[in-house]
Amino acid sequence: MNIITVRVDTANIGKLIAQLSAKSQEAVNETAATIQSRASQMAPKDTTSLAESIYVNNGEQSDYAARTGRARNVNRDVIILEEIRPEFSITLFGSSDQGYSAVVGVAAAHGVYQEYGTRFMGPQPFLTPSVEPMRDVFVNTMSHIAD
Amino acid sequence: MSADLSRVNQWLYTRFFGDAALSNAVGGRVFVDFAPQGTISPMVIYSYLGGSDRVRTRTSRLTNALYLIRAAADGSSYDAIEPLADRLDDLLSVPDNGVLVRDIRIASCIREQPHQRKDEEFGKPVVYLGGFYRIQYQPADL
Repeated sequence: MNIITVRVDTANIGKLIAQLSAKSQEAVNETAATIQSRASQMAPKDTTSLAESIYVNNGEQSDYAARTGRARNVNRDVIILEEIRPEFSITLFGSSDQGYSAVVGVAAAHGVYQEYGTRFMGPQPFLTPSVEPMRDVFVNTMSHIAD
Repeated sequence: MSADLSRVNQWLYTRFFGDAALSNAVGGRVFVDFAPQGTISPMVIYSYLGGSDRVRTRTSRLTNALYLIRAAADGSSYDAIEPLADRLDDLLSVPDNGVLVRDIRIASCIREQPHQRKDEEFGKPVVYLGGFYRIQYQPADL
């Protein structure tokens, strides 16, 4: 009778877990940064305050203050909305343990009218077209996170 | 084929304008993107917001398109447009084998998120009711 011996070396599991965690965070941050960049490029521009007001908050860092400052610099009349933080968001996993998340927010109050339009003004969406292509990219990135 | 969204727009318009109950209720006022200034309410407006292609080859792709589809009316009560939003949702069902619109086949239309908004235009209240709908389609010859 043949005997097969299987040996599992667990020495690197801790390292792998740490790496997964760091890579996941990196994927979230990169996706958020790409969405922010695309949305800023696609945002309709008059004074550019809308494009300037698109910020990212990943719970540890936020460029909200810098971005809204720039938005106010180019348009002193722009109405700035309060910052949305990741912990304000509700996910399928509940609000206590969300893992890594980031918010891409639009601080300029008129952003919603550009994104969705009104009955007498056509939409010029900038955020949705930036998010949509990133869904598959993000899922694909996370699928290979342990590679 | 790169003007496929115009086929989707056509399908939506045909569904809404061609439905006697809805069309009569809004007086035929069904618009893509926006209504001409001064159009009386209620009305139906739908807009493409964004999307993406899967299986990116020239002849084979499945497109995901996100539309905001809603009824709008003057006033601050949703009561008047509630039956309109309900009807919109009924009309957006797609049979299992899809719907052929010229050279595309619409495979599904699913509401992803409800939409309700109260706004003001020159100090007068306006209400919107409807949803964000994900429409999936592909070239008809696939």
